[in-house]
Amino acid sequence: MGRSGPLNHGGVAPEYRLRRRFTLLALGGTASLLFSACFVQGSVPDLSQAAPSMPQTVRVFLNKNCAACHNRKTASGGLDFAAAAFRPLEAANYAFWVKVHDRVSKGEMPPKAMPQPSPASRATFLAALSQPLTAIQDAQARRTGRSVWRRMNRYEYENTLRDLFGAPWLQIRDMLPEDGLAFRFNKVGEALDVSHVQMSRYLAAADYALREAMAQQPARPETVTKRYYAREQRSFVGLASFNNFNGSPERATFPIVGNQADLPALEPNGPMTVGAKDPARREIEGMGVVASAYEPLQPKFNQFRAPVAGRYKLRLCAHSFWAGPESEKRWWRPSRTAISAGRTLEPITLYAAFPPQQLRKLGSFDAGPAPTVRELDVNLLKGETIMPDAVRFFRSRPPGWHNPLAQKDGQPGVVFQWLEVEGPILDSWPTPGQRLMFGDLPMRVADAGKVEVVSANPNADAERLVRGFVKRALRRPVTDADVQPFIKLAHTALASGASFTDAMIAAYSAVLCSPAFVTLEERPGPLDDYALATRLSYFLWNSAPDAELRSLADQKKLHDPAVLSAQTDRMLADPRAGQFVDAFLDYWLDLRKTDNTSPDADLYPDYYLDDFLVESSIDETRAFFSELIRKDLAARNLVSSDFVMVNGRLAELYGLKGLEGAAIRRVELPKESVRGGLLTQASVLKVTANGTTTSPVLRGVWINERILGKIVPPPPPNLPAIDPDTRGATTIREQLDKHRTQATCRSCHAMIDPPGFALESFDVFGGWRDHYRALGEGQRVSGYGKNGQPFAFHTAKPVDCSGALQDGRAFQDVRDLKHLLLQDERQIARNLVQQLVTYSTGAPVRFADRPKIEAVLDRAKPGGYGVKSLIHAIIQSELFRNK
Amino acid sequence: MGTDAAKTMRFSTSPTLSRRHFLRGTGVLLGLPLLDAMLPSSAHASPESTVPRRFFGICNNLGVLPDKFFPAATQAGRDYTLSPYLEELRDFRGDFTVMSGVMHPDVDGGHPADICFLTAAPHPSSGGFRNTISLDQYVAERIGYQTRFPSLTLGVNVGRGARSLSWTAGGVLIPCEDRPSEVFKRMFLGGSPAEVQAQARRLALGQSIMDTVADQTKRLERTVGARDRERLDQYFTGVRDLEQRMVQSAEWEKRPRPVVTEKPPLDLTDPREYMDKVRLMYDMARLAFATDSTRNITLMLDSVNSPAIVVEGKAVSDGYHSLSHHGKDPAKLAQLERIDREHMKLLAHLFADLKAHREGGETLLDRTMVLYGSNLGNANTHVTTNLPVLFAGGGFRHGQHLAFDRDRNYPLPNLFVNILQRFGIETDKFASSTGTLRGLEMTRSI
Repeated sequence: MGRSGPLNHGGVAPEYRLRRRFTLLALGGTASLLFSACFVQGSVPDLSQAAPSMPQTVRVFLNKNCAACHNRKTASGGLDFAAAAFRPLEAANYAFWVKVHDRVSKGEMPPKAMPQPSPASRATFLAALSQPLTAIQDAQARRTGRSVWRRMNRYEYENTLRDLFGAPWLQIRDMLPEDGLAFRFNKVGEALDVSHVQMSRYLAAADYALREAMAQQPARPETVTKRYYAREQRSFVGLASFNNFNGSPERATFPIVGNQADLPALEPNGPMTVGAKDPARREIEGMGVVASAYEPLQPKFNQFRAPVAGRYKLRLCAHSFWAGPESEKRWWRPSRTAISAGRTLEPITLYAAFPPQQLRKLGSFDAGPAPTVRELDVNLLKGETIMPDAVRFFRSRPPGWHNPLAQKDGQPGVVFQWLEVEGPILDSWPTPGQRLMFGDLPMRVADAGKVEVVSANPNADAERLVRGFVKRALRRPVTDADVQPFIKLAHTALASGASFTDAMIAAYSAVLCSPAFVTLEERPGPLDDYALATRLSYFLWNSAPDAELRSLADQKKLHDPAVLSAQTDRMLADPRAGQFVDAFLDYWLDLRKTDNTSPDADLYPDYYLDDFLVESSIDETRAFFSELIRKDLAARNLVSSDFVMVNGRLAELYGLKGLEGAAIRRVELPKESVRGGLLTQASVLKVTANGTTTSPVLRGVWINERILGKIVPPPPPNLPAIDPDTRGATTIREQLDKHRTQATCRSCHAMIDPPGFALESFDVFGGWRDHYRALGEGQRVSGYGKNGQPFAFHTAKPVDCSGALQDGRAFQDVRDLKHLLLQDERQIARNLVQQLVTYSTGAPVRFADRPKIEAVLDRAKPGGYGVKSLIHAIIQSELFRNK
Repeated sequence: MGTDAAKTMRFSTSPTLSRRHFLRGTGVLLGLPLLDAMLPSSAHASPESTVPRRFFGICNNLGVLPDKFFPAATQAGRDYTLSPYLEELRDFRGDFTVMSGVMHPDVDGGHPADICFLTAAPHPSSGGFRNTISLDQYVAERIGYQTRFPSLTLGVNVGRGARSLSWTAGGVLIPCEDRPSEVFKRMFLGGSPAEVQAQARRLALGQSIMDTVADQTKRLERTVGARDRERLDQYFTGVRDLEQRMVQSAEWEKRPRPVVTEKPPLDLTDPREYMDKVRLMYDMARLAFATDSTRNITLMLDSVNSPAIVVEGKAVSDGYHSLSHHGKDPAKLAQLERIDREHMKLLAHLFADLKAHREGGETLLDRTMVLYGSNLGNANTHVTTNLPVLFAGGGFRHGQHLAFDRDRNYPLPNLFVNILQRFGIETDKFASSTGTLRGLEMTRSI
């Protein structure tokens, strides 16, 4: 399939590439293959400062303790300290000295076999070396700030427009190009480029948002409640009869009344419904399915199409049923006549469908044997209809499918009875967007049904409205000079013959494309209250400050630590904090890449096409991180927790018995469970695999960098890819044997691989395995996949999940590994803080920032490094409150 | 114009489409401010300084019978034996490459996959699906301003608004234009004065917006330090570049339209006249390229939505879609073969027409990349692997069978990277590509 091998040193992900560029820049001429501390530094010191000279204590220490090997003659590691210049104003040289600092600080140098300096002289040396290095970066931070001026990323732009117009249904993100990454996040100015492509996409997005957010009709749309019966939907009914294209019950709908087959309705041109004349019977009529919605079985409530974008309430009435076997011989085929009461609780997902094939997930709930009505509060886009999906069921793929859920006495099904829609639900009229753009000006229907705003005094109205709009859109006080160009633009447009509506939209488009809106204004030094409000809200909500934050900024109160703390609590308790959790995890843990690869249809047919599993796994990790924040649970839970946040599908994957249903909930784990913590969550195990094979190297790098906060050196160039063996003759560990036996590999892979070895117990979607799976020759495992096809894989060699950490501590499996990692709780917390600081300030943690990070940790230590406490401590820190 | 078939067909009596329909059908460029289309590769390079490159992407969403289309798997390279279907293209053997063993990774789900033929967006039948930008629109964003139309989106027998090969970056369908007369009118006759004026006003407004934003950016730049100024300066450049492109686009309405000798075509309204419709659309594409009206055309052949169609004057026995579920019935297979061979003959016509037109010492075919293929590898089983793909013209070393592994398919998006690079667009990635297509070489570097 052209997938690059999981071990391909050449196939680095884009963010790795960016990092490597930084690395090369930093190392300059030094030939070392070791990692560069510049990654930690981030910004490049500039040369406008006075050059410091090497402190005497540093020189003395190096001569005494290092020069035995690192001299002109031996130059161990290519390094001669006598010739090493001290020019830390140059980025590469700065990075070099940070590396010297860190290797001495960690006790890696001098090597254990050599005479060791006294602890006191080591400390003196480190302090003396730190002093000029810190001073350089501190001076730079005072002059320019740690971070560089940046624009919003596409998540932020979408959220900001949604909040500005009170229109949470706006779909903006996908209209904008993918954002550049630096230091893993889409929050760093250096990587958030602007080109004409970006500009034109902003322009298109702004125009779309403005036209969608304005009222679509002159009068308030009526809120209607209407019931759509499945039996009256063409989409359901058309699938009830067999024809040229389908003669299979698995791909048909089942007319059912109560818990019985509706035999007349199965006849050609039989009566499909009693209709309104028999309400009692109409209520219990329904259409069943035994398969999950997938081409060609995608029945929808097609009579409903959202008349306008906005909020709606959906109520679905459904229940499970049981379809008996077609015959004793062909028991796996369902009979549409042998229907009985349901035996299962079935998760149902509702999608908003837009032709030809766009499907937006709205929410999930359960349907049991008794008809139940479940309600969802949703946002719909104009023209969307509703598609229900019984997600646990299989998806029939040709040829000759076989329902994996079928038993000798039948198979489970779900009957959809009706969908009731209430909406659009308006909290106010005119809508918030209309009011913001056009105040109370009347509207009328112009030519060709187009809606227009009517103004008796266009120039004066334009001026008044633009002033109001700019004041609301910008995140700081607005001056007349800020507003005038936009007023002028509206006036010019009016003069050129544009309609009032178009002229205003032109002016507003300019506002939404202007740097005052698109970029986040921060000036060097302590942030003023407006900049602080902005930084805070783009941290905890990933969106613009709300009225309360703005008002506190107006009153110059926000910088007060107590006020700031109270606001932090308020914001974390707000549903918008979900936007922080989603966006942060999308980048920190790569959750946005979950769908980049899919389970292989042959090797993992039990996962293939299982959208519900994909969605549940993302939901789990989000719920887990939210739980850590909400309950201020210790950062150590990231590595090992005694609970998981799961639904029925994940419980099945994790082998937790007795859990059913679609809703994610907290479940305490049995003692000795391998689960708990991020490492063993399905989302993480999937995103670190490629759908076909797992790689201890890729997973090892990922765990080291994301969870343990270790810096993994970039791979050496031009190493051949290892071609994973899907035939099962050799295991990945056998293929990686070089890492153990060759010294050049071992130096890095002794650190990289071990966590990956422990995770070999988990397959490409995080299911437990004792053996690998393989294709080709071998005794096939019996069973059928989610696609209805017989398993084509066989059991291959056993998994070896044991290993030893770099320091020699051995582990037998992932539980041991977690115990070992938990011994340094502060490092787990430190890594989280570093990720959060990068995310929230738009700049990485540099050498000079390290003491400030330690101060944050000290502050949260008494409660055991609670995640919420860490967030509070970050927000109160100097790092966060200064540019 | 005036193919024999067209002359015998009825003239459409339905009212002509509004301008709006056409604008939507031709890509979003003219519908300001969706100005995505006028984006540059090299900002101020004059179009004349480079060799124009063109792309014509065609998807027949029922595909062809694989056994008759693919050369033997063992016959890779230049010395392969033409398959029965490719025999129809014998005269052009040196002008095309046939590929086997290719797929769009993770584009599954049978019929719905046709809308991903030029986007390669994964899992079109699954929950959460949203399409992504198509190859032609990606190109139009970058070089579209160089021609009157950044792109044309065409279709045959496509239900209105139901399917398309062209998708915007936001995953919005660009509807197909299915009337050749409308395509012809837009290219060579132009809009009404009111429409022209409205368009000019929209572009002028776009320029004013960018001008305002540019001024604001400059003002802000003066208040920040050097490191931040660098970022704002990049912002400013982005704004000015977009403004420049708008200016160039506005120029088009002032330039005279090309004059052609062909008569406006007659539209065919009967879906059974599928093959004649295909022929007419091929003619429109050839005219568009020959007059440099656009460099970028997609054509969706919605065979799934087609009835028992007429082939060489005689209707086939069953609906096109029903036939494709042949279940190996010899009678149905024979009917399908008639259809498939007719597709190949039409392609031969297209290649011949493009080859007959010369441009700067080359033939139009040498400068036009024609991609013909399907989202289905085998319509009988709905598989989306082993796609039939034929790639012709455009300045590549053709005349070969690129045979990839039929069990572990090779990613077709790699070909899209070759196509983008042939356009002179600097990129090494499109959708799920892993590089450029192994074994496909350009004839010359520019």
